[in-house]
Amino acid sequence: MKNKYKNTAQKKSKAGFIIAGIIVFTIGILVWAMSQLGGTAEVRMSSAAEASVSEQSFDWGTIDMDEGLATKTFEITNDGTETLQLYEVATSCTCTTAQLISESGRSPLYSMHTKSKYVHEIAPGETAQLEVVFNPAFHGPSGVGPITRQVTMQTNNPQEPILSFEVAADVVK
Amino acid sequence: MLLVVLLLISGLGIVLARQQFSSVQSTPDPERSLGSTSNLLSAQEFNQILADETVFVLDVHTPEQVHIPGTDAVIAYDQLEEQQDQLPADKATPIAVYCRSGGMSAEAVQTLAKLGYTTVYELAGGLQAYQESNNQVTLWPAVQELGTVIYGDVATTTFTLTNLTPLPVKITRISTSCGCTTAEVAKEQLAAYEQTTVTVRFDPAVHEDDTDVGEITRSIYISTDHPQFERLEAAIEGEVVLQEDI
Repeated sequence: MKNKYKNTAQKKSKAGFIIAGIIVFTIGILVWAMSQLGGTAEVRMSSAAEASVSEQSFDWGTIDMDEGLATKTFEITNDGTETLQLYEVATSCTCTTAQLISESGRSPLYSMHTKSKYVHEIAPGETAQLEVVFNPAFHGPSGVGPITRQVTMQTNNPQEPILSFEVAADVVK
Repeated sequence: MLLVVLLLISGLGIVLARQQFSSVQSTPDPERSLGSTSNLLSAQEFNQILADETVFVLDVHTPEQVHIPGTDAVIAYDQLEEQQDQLPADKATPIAVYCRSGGMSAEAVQTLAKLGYTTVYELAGGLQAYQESNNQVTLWPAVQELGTVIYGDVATTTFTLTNLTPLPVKITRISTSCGCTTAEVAKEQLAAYEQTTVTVRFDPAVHEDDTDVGEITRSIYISTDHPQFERLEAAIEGEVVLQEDI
């Protein structure tokens, strides 16, 4: 009898563990999914969110294919009175990535074909960094010569729905 | 039966109305008219005509000269009847004619009217007048449609780079938005009023994966040493499909 009781108790606690495990697992999945979706905030169009940029184009000049990645950071400041939202970031080439960084965190690393529902939020007065990385060796030895790459993104300001940046270089080997 | 007759009548009515409309459009200013169906245009007005894709733009100068960007055909003014097959089949298609200074185009207008074209515009003063009032460097067209590109094939298209300024222009840089796209100019130095061909190749398989499948837009950038035209931009558009999907 005693043994039998013990067995039932063990079974019960085992079941408890499994249920707890499932709950933890589900929460984990949810948290991970949320993080993948980023802020998941809905885009709220607002003319009071004003993106102002430090510069829109940059030329690295001559870069050597063997010197590795070329990086350029652009700054995007919200000069408006409402939250600026940036989303659907895309680069013009698989060889180029872009990432938004600010107090609200880091966006996913975007490239040419990235599809993400992430919405990056910039509070009024706050400045975000847009880090653009170009890999001159991506296309191999045929990638020499002048290049121009674009980074575009949607904004929640209907007056300026698309922000676009450009990097240029002359790749040598 | 009655319905068919009615349809025919209304169809005829529409055709007649269209013709009337065309002749109204081409009613010439008596001061500037060269023929009953011609419409003499200033260089500025000609630019509006160029922007209208329904208009067939025809250079009739011989020997062949630099063509205004947007020209659809080049037929010598005295060869129009012989080369009718190169003209639009629909006689209601508006045609805009030009030559170098105006002489050959005036004759072409008469010939086109004889051939039955109902709306013919003519550039007053020809290419010379156009160049004087369009002091610019152009990359044409703004967008070149590639249509469907099969993954594994390389699509090639051309643009025209025209120096409509009286000074030589040097191309200082030519680049594209992606490694999959290359652009080349036939000439890197353009004399005054000279033009060259820009050949663009798009290779969707350059990344050796199928990331370029679907609808694509790629940009071409050309820099010149002309201070007002430091940078010109054009694009190619198309849809990349996999062979097995066809």
